[in-house]
Amino acid sequence: MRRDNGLSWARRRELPLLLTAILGIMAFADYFFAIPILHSAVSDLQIWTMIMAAFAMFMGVVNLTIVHGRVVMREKDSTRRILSAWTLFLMYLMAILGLLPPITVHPSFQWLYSTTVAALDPTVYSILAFFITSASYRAFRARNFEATVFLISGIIIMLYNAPIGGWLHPGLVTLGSWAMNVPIVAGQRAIMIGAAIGSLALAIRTFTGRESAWLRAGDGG
Amino acid sequence: MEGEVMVKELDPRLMYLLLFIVVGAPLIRPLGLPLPITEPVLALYNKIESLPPGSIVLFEYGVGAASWPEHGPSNIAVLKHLLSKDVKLILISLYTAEGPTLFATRIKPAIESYLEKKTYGVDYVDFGYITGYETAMAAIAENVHKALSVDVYGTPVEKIPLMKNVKSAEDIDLVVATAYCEPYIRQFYTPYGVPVAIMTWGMNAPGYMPYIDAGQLCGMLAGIRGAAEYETLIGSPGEGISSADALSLSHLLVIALVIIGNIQYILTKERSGR
Repeated sequence: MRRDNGLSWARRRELPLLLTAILGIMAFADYFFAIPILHSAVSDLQIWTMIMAAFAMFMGVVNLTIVHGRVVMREKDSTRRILSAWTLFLMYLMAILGLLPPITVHPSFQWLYSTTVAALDPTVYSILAFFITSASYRAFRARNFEATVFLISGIIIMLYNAPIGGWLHPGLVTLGSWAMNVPIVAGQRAIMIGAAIGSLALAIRTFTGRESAWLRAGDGG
Repeated sequence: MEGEVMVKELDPRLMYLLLFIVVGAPLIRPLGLPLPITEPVLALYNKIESLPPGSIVLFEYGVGAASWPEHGPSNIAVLKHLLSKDVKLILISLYTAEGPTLFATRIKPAIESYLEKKTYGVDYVDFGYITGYETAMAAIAENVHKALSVDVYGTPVEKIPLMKNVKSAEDIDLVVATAYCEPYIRQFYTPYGVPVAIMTWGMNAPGYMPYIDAGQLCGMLAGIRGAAEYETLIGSPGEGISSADALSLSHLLVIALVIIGNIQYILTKERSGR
């Protein structure tokens, strides 16, 4: 259970809620109203946010060092210790080489990136194609009217998206183009406007302190 | 329940093998299928063609290694077009920290012959990766010199000739970005009226059609298909065109499997008397 007896002002939930409300309303108001003093303050806040975002990367390095360092120091399983040590070694190697000037484009960093990340990342991503192929065979079934409409629309859009669609029949491009420009636009607009209204409601709840779930992130609850 | 037996008999490994063949074979021997040009791609091409000499273009090359096949060829094709025109380019990566590395290792070699005709600092400038994403966009749009203090080589922004007259989004004539379009619409198009074009994933195309329809996006390249169309338009075949046939055949395979799956499903239902 979280202990918050009010003795530490830094741990009081009112402080982050108040800061969020003030800064959120400032940024919100600046978007709609031309108030010079507010504009200047929000402009500075934006620069602070960029700096904090950069600092968050450093925090990521610290966090990974603590997590894997703990495994290396305390774990009894030698395999886990070796893997954690290897992870730390690679992380620091990439971080150090990445910081060599010119930052992130030094030849040694580029070589390491090209031979590891640039090869592994698309490989993992491309495995999705095999999964989707198998899943489409198993999942896309015309079980009822709605599912049938969904299935036919999906096939039309796929044939529109693939160059072979126009080669098979020029009408598929026309049909696909109509589907993209009329029903899809209508449906997407409805979703977007709904989501925007939802975001606005969430923003108002956050500014007024009614939404505070984000404060509990990381402490289990 | 014979039908169900048929469904189970279609081994996933067979599907994987078929996919491997239909994706791999056209990469080795392209089919050269005709490629109709779609409206959002043509719109971006026409927009760049209509830019007056000396126009300022903010080009965001936030390509990650995983999304390279979807974004990389589009980035190369549009950059080739922009560099063939008399426009000034501000290069930046906002979406991912991987951008500068992939720019240096893959994009730059592909556009080297175009860059040779341009002068760094006068015709183009590279600011590398800037953290903060949408907040960074807002800061750049508001005050370029404050948000981008030095370029990727550490040169102060005030000393870069190209940047002398670029103070805010009001001095930018076009934004071409990678990945998501909404933040750019919010930070460049809506407050300043700067035209925005996007190079995105193929799956995002239907979701972005309302922005095209409303004029908030002046063009869109979606996935390999978009890149292939753009390469056709500028007459410079690249990765996009060579991958387009693989895309076609893989889509056909998926459609064929969906049809087979449904035939088996109907047969199963009929045989089980439901």
